[in-house]
Amino acid sequence: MPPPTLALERPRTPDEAIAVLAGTSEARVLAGGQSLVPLLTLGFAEPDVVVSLDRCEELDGVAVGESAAAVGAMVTTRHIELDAALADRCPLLVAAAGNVGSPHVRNFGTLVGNLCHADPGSDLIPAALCLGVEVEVRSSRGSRRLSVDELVAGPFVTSLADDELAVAAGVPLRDRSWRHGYRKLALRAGDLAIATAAALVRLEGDTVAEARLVVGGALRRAARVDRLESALAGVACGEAAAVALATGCWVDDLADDLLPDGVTPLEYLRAMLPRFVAATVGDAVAGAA
Amino acid sequence: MNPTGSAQPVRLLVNGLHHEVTCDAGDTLLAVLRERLELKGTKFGCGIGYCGACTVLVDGAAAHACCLLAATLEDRRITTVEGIGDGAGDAVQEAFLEAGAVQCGYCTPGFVVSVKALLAANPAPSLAEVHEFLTGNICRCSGFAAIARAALAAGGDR
Amino acid sequence: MSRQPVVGRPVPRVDGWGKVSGSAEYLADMALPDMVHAAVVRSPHPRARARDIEMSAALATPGVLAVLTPADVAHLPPVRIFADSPPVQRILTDTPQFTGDAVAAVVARTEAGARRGALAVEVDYEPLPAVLTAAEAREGAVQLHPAAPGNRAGPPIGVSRGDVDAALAGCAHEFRDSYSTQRQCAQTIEPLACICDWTGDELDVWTHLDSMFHFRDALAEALAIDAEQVRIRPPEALGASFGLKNSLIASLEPLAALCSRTVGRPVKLALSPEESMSATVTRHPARIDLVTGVDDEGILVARSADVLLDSGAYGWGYVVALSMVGKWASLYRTEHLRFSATSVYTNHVPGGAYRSVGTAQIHFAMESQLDDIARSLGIDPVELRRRNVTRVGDPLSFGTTIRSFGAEACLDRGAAAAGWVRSGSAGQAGGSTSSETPGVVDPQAAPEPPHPVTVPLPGSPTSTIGSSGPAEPAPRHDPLGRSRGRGMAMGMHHAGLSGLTPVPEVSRCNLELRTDGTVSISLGVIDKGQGALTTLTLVAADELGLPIERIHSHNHGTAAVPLDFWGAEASRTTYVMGRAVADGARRLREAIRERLGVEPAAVTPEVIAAAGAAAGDGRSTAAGAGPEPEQVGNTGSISVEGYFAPADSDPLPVVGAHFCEVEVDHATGRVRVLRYVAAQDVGRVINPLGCRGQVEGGLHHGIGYALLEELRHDEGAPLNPNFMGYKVLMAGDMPDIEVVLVEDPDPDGGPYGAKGVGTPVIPAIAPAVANAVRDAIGVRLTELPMTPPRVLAAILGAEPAAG
Repeated sequence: MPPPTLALERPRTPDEAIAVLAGTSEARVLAGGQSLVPLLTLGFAEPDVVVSLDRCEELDGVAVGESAAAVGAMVTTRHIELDAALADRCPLLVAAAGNVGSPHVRNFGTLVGNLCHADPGSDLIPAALCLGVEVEVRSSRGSRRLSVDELVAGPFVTSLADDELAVAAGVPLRDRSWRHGYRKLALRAGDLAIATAAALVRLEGDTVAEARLVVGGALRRAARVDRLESALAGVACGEAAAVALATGCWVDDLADDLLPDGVTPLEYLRAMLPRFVAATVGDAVAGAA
Repeated sequence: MNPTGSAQPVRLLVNGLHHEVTCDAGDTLLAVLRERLELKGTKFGCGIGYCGACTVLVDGAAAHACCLLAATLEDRRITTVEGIGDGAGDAVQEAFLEAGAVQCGYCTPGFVVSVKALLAANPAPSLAEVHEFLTGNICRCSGFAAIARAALAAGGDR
Repeated sequence: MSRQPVVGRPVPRVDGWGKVSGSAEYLADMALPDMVHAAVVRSPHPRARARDIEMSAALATPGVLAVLTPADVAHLPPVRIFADSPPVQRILTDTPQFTGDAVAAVVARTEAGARRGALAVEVDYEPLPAVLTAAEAREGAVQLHPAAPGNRAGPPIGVSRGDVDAALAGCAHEFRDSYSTQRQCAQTIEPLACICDWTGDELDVWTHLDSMFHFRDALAEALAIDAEQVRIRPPEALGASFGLKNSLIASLEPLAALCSRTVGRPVKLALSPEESMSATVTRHPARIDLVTGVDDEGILVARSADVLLDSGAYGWGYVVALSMVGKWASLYRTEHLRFSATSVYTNHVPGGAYRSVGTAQIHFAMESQLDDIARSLGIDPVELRRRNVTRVGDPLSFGTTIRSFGAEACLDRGAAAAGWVRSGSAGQAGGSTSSETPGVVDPQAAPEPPHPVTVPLPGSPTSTIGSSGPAEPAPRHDPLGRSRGRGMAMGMHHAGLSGLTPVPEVSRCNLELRTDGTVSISLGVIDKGQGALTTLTLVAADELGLPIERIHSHNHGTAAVPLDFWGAEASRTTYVMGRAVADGARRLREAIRERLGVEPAAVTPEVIAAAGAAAGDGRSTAAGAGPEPEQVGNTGSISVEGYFAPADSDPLPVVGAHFCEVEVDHATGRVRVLRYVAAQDVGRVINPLGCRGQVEGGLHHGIGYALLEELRHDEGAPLNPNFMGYKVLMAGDMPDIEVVLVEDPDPDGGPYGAKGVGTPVIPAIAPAVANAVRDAIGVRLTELPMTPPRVLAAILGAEPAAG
């Protein structure tokens, strides 16, 4: 249980939150709390101050524009899952959102909080990386935008400075020539992912013109599968999954990042990931979710 | 913006009643419900958001009370199992009894609250939707089957 | 009054309202005046010596009242974890034998204070070499307990009949296979807890033990006091057990009792979820080697089983092996049999009881091997079992002649419900890669699979030695696709404990006709969710012809109810206590008849309902629907005792046949069980709601055992003792379930011929799933759980070329 000395701040605006963060080095930002509160309970996180964003109303909104959507830091995964405009313009994000934990978790857990928690088992990080999401970060020193690749440094580690607050995620929107695939492998329903694959393919006729592929899960951090992206360019849709399977050597590029454990040993990850990603490519070219 | 330190008074709206409770910053809603408000129908099972025995409604949405800090819930509408029905049983509770969805019962209040939330959002769910929603709760006795039947029955699929 | 019997009709449980409303009080919800809290200091090492325990910081922690160390228990005898087990465990130990063994305890005003105090206890450990595998323990180079040479956890179990070696030499086919099973956790949603209150020389214990009297005696022995000084009481509602509360956990009740005596106040000890999973007991892991000889017709000629059980630090593998051998020997007729089991101590969490003790492990092995035998001989697996299964009239292990055994009915009705497509030499519908191809569903609709993966082999005239997997062509599966397979298995377990323990199998209860016209049944079994109080109420209701609202079954603890040593263990409540309640109800009718001086036929439900009303007090019966007392006479309150002791020398045999269909993802190796048909012979259905719930709930444990559940360790330290890491199935992981309740009443079984259901549903499940996985991928898995990596490795091993 957290010590009785733990302090809680509930600022009303991001600026107030930033001011609190500027004044302490041992603060943790609380959005939905679905990861942080258990960590506090278990004593795995021991901040001096918890800065809750629950009163920052301006962070609780989705703005869908022509080419991008802005998702505030207090927007829940459930909100994304049920957002009709996002379902239309960014179905990959919505598919990933629907895979997060349970409805109970999604009712409170947020997209931005999930990205900043940097859990390798995240459903949303691979999708966000595949989409090219950028996270807007502010501090008393100014603001910057980080790609997911820049944000997530490793398991449960981000590149955010102690005084920085992630206030929103900018989600690029694509036209209908893009299809997506999203697969999650977990040992049971609702569990953290052993593997997550997100695929976006732009089709020209029956051919893959461009592919963006990301794999996450039992990896230090989610990664683009560059070698496979190149291999798929110009491949006929009907051949895409087979080409992906035949190009499974991409997993060697990630060998140092694999995170085996007692249930899912290294040889399993090396054998499974190429098949899993290839199957996701097959889903994408078939237009299936 | 004065750092408030530890214990502070928090206004909680639980089952339609206002309470002012002194909370430590790290107190979970579950701890406050059980230990301060003596609402012991909400159970402690795992403490980390997996088992669902502590499921409550917050503004009508299902939530794990072990994963929420009480002090962040000021004036939100919290409903526990004690606030379901009027102590006389409602359709979900009746359906659980009729379907044999109750065995040891330790998980049952959490499931009752979850099914209330599900049916409020989706009055006639499919079996797959019931299963998906119940990912927030674990029952070790029933294999979930009778619970799903109860949810479908309470949803009007008689 | 025309009253329909309630037995056999679905009746909501009598204790249901408190549970759906949240008002039912569990141990975690209880508090006594002046109650304080304890927390346990546990060893971080699997084997160590505590050189020094420094408690000054703990004693200085706010709210801490006392710290207990091994010195505080030095005068007490070692504890036995179960009735027949050697006493080798200390309540607190300075030589911990597993990670989680209790070294010290802290008592404080609050639970949080006790936990902080426990963290402040500084123990100087000298780590010792740990014995972490059963094989190493059997070699005995390191002896863990002075009283257990060779690390033997109780005597070995051996059974021999006929001449197995000679018979095997003459068999047409011989199969040798090895199997291993894992450490499974009950993972009850309710963490374990107890409250102990020592006043003067007497100890009150509010706790959750499957058998109150058994563990009252065990607790008294552990504390070196008289059993009469201990009163054990169940709380209003109890979380599930699945065997977890079938062992005396030394660091629970005995420790809390000592804490209470030390501080002179009631002490609550609530274990964390992590402690409940990794510092209590688990199912025993097993290594099982089987040799089986059959003739060309698939008739079992000779079988041998060699079992090695990991009992953990203090477990009771002896009892597990005893349970194992009876079913292994009895489910199928075999002339030549040889069974040997050794259980050894290791430096792991103790093995204990878990729903379907022993039979879960041995059935995974024997039913998997039978599936391979059927495949190898081209015989349908249902047919193979039909040819060999035990029949009524056959003897059980200790000589009881089987009166009722619904095995063939379970096979027939289960196969029919599953739409089982007969396989074998007539053409085996094996696994298929088409996601549309149903394996276990409609026989009419089953199309030719696009990629037949199993080809019937002609019966080999020579012995098949070595791995029993037939040399089939490698299946041609789509590496990105899914395949389906179907499988079946039988399962047998016992109800009751006749012949298995030195303490007689007896139940007693008291029935009282009260002056308000209700009948109160006082009994010593607990309702831990299995529905015992409801079942027993229904039995009494029908015996007396009363509405169930007039009957109140209750358990107010050892000081208030008649002795029932074995309580709610081994699926015995319906069978043994059910007969005692039925007996008591008949005695009550007779007592009423005598008191009224009328003929038996005159003791109608109306008369019973009215009879209790006291003369002259003017009160009528509670419901007011029956005749007035003066019309039928009244008796005042009447008390009788109900009693039943099975005459059999074996427990009641209970059998089932299960069928399932699985789908295997060839990209990942993940298995989903799609459809499951469980046919269980329950003898007689007392309450279909309860029976169905027991079967469906058993599937949660059984399928989890097959696919996922395992408490894992690294160098003796538990890796996943929590709800995140220990994976029980979620709602969406469960199959579509069809429960077939077969009623083959045992004329001298439970009431109306009932048997047991909760435990016997388990053993068939893991092998049924394993056999379906074998069917789907063409490869046999012999190790549980069948996780995606193991399944994918099997698939990859069978694929013709890399990629």
